[in-house]
Amino acid sequence: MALLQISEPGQSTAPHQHRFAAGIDLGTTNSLVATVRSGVANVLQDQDGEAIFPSVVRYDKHGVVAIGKAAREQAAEDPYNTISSVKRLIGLSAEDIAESAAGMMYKLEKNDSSVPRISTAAGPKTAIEVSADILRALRERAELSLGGELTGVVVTVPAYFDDTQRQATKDAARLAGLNVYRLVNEPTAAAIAYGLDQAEMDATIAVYDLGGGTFDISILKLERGVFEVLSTAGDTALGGDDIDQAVVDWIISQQGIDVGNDAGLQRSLLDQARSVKHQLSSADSAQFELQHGDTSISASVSVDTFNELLSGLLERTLKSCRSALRQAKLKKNQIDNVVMVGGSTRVPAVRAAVSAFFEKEVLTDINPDEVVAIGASLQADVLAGNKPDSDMLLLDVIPLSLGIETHGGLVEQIISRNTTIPAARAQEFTTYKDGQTAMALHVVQGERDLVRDCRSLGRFELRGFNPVVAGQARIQVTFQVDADGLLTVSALEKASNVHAEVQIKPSYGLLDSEIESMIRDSMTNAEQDVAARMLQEQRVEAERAVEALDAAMAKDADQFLDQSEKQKILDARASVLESNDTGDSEAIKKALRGLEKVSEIYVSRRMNASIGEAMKGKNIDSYAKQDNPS
Amino acid sequence: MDIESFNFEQNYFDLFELPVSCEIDASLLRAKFMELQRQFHPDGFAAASSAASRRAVQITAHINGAHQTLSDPLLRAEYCLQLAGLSTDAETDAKMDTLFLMQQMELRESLEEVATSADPYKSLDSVRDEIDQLIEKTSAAASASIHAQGYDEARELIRRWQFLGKLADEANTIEAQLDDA
Repeated sequence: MALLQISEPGQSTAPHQHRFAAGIDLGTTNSLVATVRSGVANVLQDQDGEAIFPSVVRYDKHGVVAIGKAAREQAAEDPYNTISSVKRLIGLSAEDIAESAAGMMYKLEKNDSSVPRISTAAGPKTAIEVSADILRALRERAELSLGGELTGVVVTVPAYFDDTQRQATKDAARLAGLNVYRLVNEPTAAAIAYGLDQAEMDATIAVYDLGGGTFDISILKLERGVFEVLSTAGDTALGGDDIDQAVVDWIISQQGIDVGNDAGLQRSLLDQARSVKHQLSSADSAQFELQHGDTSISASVSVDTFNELLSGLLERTLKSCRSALRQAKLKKNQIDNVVMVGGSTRVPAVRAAVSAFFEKEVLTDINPDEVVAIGASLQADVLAGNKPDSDMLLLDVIPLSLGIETHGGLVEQIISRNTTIPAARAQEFTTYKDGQTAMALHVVQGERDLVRDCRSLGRFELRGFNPVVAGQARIQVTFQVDADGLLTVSALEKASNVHAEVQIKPSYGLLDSEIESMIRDSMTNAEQDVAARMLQEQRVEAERAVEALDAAMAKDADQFLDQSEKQKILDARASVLESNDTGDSEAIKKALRGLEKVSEIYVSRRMNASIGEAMKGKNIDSYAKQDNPS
Repeated sequence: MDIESFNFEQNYFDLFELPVSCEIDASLLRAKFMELQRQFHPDGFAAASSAASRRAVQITAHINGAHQTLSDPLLRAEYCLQLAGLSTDAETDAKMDTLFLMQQMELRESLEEVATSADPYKSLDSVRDEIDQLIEKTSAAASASIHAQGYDEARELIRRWQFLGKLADEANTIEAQLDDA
């Protein structure tokens, strides 16, 4: 930063160092990264001016071979090695995935781990690792654009993500080498982007966020810089992907097509469905055209048919809206503004349905694809400490109740949904056997009464109590949810005031040790990446040198070189080209040095000749004058 | 009070600088809540040491819990009683006035009939009105008893209030079922 710092007289010059921070919207279909510069939030673009980064990664045996737009274009030709919509899998078990519509898009490895692994040419990959690859690409984009390393980021998650999905997202960021200041809920981030525009606005707003794979509705109260989430509801398996699938299902039944196990055909059908969906945002009908192997489809889809296919999905979202209103203890007419977020809210029928439900015009001023990343970057800027005078404060809630298993497979609620976070609750337990020194707690998340209907988060084993008579021990277990919505459990034996050891066995998450080893692996990979980049640079340099030499020799080799000198140079040139094929960057370097050495005489002769040319007709005095303008 | 010296033992009313009472000024509670949030919320410590940010999480969780207790009239009344050294756990003793239990049963039956009535929303509203009125009466009486330090009577009233609160929750569940049908 070589810019001049101007400050008020008497004030010190910038004691505060600006930290590079970014907001990342890690989406099901697309991801974005945004930063705040000179007080303005902007989404960052690639060289082609594209801000949207498709959340798609293609692997070959060496690792990531294509990512983003390039990978999406290759999805149909290499379906099993091209992973898209990975966010739908994050934090899920193999059974969850098999049950979901997305199940057929991936081949899962058979193993004992609770975290399913997708089999790819690069080996088995967890959804966490695939997400980390996407985050790494976004990190590179941000660091390139900012010209420095990121100090920290805000990563957004669907408000309705449970503890496992949040933890998995945070693990992915860690794996990508990012320092996560905070996980922020997507609708909350969108509200920040809207709310900060109207600093004076005190209002109750509903954020309707229909993304590629998830749906959230959050109701917030905005009051003098405070964003207080009153309630949130949603569905983490409902989004634009499902709209596409509904179109595909309709086409399949209309045309009598058997997709069978053809994952490539399935991808092509979904791609076409997406294109039809986009066209129907501004037209009354669209053509579904597809040519894949023996399958050829040409069908017209009218906007009425499309809206009908959509109606079931829309009703599900409105159900969540009603639930969120009830939880916030508000009536529809108490909502001042309805904000639309997510690419799927571009569909006119979605806007119309939401507008009819809340009985008011919906807000779509900010690009629905970008609004979450922009809000996240504003929050990241504040968290980095770049805006010490900011009065922005974000009070969010836990979306799903936390409970523990009691006898009979019943759930006892510990922290109920829509409680403001951070939140904590202490509960006292006792032992039921003489001399008992350990106990296990099964923690679940959800609203249902039976453990089997809720989501299992993990088993917490508390060890190291003093052995006493049954019923004598008093063990206080504290359940704490932090500002990211993540649970930690601690236990204190009250008589001895000793903290018990707590071991977590996540039901569907990675153990800390697994994450550590993944980070180690990725560092080894990073070393390999550095070596590969050096080799590539060396090759380019060699090619350029040969090109320059060829150009010069074509012009004046015979003028400056005799036959033997010329032959020496040509031999050295040949060995450079030879080494360039070896893949050994040291060998290339050596050959290049050899070429430079034998060319020295040629270079200096050419140089002298050109200087002589330039000085022709000028005398020494005129140069002296230039040097000494006095 | 700063992040190091924050006192977790302080009672909730003192934390929010409010007089110990069943009746509170909601706007004062909210103003103090925001002030405490601005001071201790972990967002203010995102770039600080992990020890400081962990402590901020604990403090804010405590503040949120205290705020939740004081902003809900029933939880607040229970807390007042607790400060006076009395437990309000439902299990401690279940002796209830027969007349009150009869009334409870009738209300429950009315709620059950809502779904099959001609105009479910209208009949739900009328049962709800009845429950709300009873809650209002009971809470006012409980508050007066606490004020007069008639804690035994207050405990009895709070127990009734807890019953009525459960009925109100059930009414909400029924509304959710109606909405989603």
